[in-house]
Amino acid sequence: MEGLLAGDDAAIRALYARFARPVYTMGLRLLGSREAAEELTQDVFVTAWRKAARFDPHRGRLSTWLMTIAHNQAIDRLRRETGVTRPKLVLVDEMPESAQSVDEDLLLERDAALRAIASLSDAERRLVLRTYFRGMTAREISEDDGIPLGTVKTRLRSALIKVRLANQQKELS
Amino acid sequence: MNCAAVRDVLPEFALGVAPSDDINAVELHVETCAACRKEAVDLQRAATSFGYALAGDGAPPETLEQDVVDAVRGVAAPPRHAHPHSRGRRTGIALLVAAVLVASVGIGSVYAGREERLRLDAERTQLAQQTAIDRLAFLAAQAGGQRNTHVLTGVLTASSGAATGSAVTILTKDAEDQMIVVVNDLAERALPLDVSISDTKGRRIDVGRIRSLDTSGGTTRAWRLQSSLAGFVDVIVRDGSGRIVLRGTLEAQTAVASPSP
Repeated sequence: MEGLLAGDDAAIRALYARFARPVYTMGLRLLGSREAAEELTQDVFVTAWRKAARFDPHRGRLSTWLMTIAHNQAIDRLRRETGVTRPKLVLVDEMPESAQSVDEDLLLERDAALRAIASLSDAERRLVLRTYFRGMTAREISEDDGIPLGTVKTRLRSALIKVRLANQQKELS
Repeated sequence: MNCAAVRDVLPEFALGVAPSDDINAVELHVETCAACRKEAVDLQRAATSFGYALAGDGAPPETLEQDVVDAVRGVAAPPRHAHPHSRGRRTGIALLVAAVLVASVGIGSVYAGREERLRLDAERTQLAQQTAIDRLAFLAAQAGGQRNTHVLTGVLTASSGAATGSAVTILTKDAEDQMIVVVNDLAERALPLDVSISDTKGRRIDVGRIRSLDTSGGTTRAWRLQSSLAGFVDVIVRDGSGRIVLRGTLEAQTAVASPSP
């Protein structure tokens, strides 16, 4: 991170090598075009530099920090453009099998994520995907589905806790 | 906001869709509440699983890495070399960078907080306005050290409003030419912004499109171009309505004088 702060080429490239692909693919799926995904990737790494001094490894992992920046920026943009280019709902079932030339760490991370998401029921999965990939708030889902806001929030919380537990079990094993 | 209210919002917070008022209240609360902070971190990590689930679905283009490096370096690095009239400006840059970093350290917001993002965006805008040319000079100095490389820089100005910007072109004989553009204070303008560059004969190259800006209306973009940029010096940025919002003329980068202390 110190290298990133200094604008050091090697540090930027190392961070890029590790995280560009998940950031780019997130942009691709959320924003719907390669151009937008490229712009998001540039923005995320520039933002990472701006926030690098505040990253505290004792409070969480670098991957979570960077992916949260990427997701927040993508959702901000998606919500600004709501109704114009909102992408179709992404189902985990549609997610690709392992691709060639993806580095092993990334594949492991992806497989762990897929296993954790597999711990959800179909309804929970769809609910979380509508927020994470479409930027829908609990209130919007509540109105769309005609169910109480409190119920939506409870289900979101329950789903995230399941994923969290699955992640923890994987680490313990 | 008490712990119960914060816990109620945390799932949406972790998924990046909490209302902005709630985000501010949650971020304030978790600064002093370790239990809620741990819950926020755990839920955010769980949410990140959904992002990772997509990894492997499409690779970024090979040119993107260099674009990212250029964009970060353009924002991150203070100039290493002296530039005419730059000593006082460089001191100012150092102070500004220090101010941003000092202000940042110790705040310790839970990841990527939006309140912080807004504040940093504002700081970034200020920094960008005051350092644009120096950044470009730094890039130019680096590129200028390479053989067969020519660098042109310039300020972009608005005919009305507070928007500012700067641009640099890097012409390399053995590789694709590059262009980097920094814009600020364009939040009120209709997107997308189109960047073009013309030569003295009126020929125009459409360099690229800026589809999003940060919350303060600024961004840095880098492009690699198939066409040669030799002779192209007049930069124009148009908004989504086709109005010119920024324009400027690039000039050859002044030779580097001496290393900075």
